[in-house]
Amino acid sequence: MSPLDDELRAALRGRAADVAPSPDPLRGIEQRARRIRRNRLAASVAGSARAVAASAAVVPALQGSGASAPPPPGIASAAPTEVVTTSSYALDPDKPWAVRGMPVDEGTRAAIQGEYATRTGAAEVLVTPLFAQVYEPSAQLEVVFLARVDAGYRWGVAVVAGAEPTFRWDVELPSPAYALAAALPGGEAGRLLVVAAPEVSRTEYAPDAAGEFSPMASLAPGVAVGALDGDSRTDAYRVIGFEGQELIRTEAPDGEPATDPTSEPANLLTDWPTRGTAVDPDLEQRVLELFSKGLGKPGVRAQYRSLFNSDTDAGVRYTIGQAWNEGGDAHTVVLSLGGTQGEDFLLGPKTDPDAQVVAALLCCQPGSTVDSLIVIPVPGTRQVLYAPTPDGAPQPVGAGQDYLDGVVDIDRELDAQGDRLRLLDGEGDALFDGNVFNLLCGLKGCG
Amino acid sequence: MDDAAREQFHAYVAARSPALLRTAFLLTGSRADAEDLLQTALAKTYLSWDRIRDREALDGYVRRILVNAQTSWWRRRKVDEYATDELPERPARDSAPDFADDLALHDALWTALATLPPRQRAMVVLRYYEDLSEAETAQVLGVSVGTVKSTTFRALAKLRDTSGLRDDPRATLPTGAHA
Repeated sequence: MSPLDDELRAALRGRAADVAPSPDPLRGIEQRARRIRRNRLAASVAGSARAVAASAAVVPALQGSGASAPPPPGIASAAPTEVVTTSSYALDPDKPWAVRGMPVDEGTRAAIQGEYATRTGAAEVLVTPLFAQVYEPSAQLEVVFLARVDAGYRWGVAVVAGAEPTFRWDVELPSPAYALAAALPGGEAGRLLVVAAPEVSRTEYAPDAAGEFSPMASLAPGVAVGALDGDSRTDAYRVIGFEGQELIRTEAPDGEPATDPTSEPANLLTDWPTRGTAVDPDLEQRVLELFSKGLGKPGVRAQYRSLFNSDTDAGVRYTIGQAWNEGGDAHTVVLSLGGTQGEDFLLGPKTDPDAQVVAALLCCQPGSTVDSLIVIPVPGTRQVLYAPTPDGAPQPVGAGQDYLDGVVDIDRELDAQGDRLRLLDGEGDALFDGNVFNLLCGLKGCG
Repeated sequence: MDDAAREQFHAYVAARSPALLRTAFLLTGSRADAEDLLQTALAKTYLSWDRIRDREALDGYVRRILVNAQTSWWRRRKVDEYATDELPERPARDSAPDFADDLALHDALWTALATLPPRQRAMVVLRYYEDLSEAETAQVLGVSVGTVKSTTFRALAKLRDTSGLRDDPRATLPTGAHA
């Protein structure tokens, strides 16, 4: 207990004590509940009329199977996560499911494919639409697609509004793929869009681990949508086959709220100060250019906030921070200049908003036989420990580096594998304990 | 919802809404916003009432909705209303702390609370008003205990700095916490 603890408690209790109870606390609750239910439904099925009308023309032979589906089975628990059966319901990427919803013309498909090739940096990309609809609240065309990317497969949701498609969902294709589920912006809650084989009976959603499954709204045969209004940690969905068997039951993907283009990204590490020197304006400008280019959006206004700026003894200047486009999430980025590779830019994944550490590797420094592992710990970290091997005991690092404002510069062997980091708070509890490998991630992988 | 369930819901609201309204007020800083926030949370609870098996955990469920809804509103808020780090100047204190000083300190902390991002503010309210443990706070917010500890520490540090109390002995940060 500290003096501030006590004063804060007293301040909060003093303020709270002044709040008189509502004279009629029940007033308006049920009306508001009905309004929320209406909004969820409207947000979830918006666009369904157009999509279903179009799908009737695209896959007319499949309507009968959906209409004669067996009645829903009894109540089932949302947990555990499992795939129950195997059958031809799984997506064969070489012979994808029939496209459903609105037709996607070749120009739109080619635009998505081109943008996706830029985004992934792959030499060979082939995009195949699986479902398309106009999402009414935004009046934007949403296309669920399968993508062959070099030798592998991914799937995603592209939004086509204007000249350049953007991507709301982009993940590896699961194997086997009984359903493709995306969490998309919706109304008050997020929107769960599930695309399965056209022959399935229905798709159901359970809001939490103890909840009951209830059918989601059907947009087209095998395509369902619903509000992600459950407990995001335990909600689940399942797909029921034509014969009533459970094809897959698994966790629902995490929803993302609709973003306000004028606001900062929710995953911006605003509590983390900029440490080291002030950001070099030339480096910052180059970060913005490379970030937009890396996301396949050259010319789109990007913003950057550095977390740490410095230079090494070998003369490598670098900046580590977060970059984002308006309305988008922030990515972790690293840019260094002066190494033997010249300009070295890392476009990382979306930053974890609860990150306890951000790390970057500076390689290829002139005259150096090691890499520099730069560790930026969450503010409040008392001690950083490093183990160069998986079996080694982590040892404190950063002695004599006070000038780095709590950031630690570690000499990392060029062939280091399995090295680990541990961060401790003032009470000796671990804030982070994990492999360095997983901290050094770009969009295409880690390490 | 059948009549029996509706009666149970009404009884819960009647019993718990005064306390929940106080929590909502501390999360929002405004009576009107607090009533709106609580009504939203209770409406969502009403929709989920039949699915909530553990009635003992109802308060935690409603608290989670309160915090999530407040965070969501904060993110969507227009720029005509925003928190600022710049506070009105406060008169310098040149004598020993007394009752008036305590009130001034509490006012300063309350004003500084408004400058915190919603998740930090929620952690402060849950930890120091609701007296939830770090583990309970983590459960309500759906984060790790480590995140609660580090975020709460940063929130306290910001409260102290924002309210101009860095050198005030009554605003010493918790000992043994994050440096």
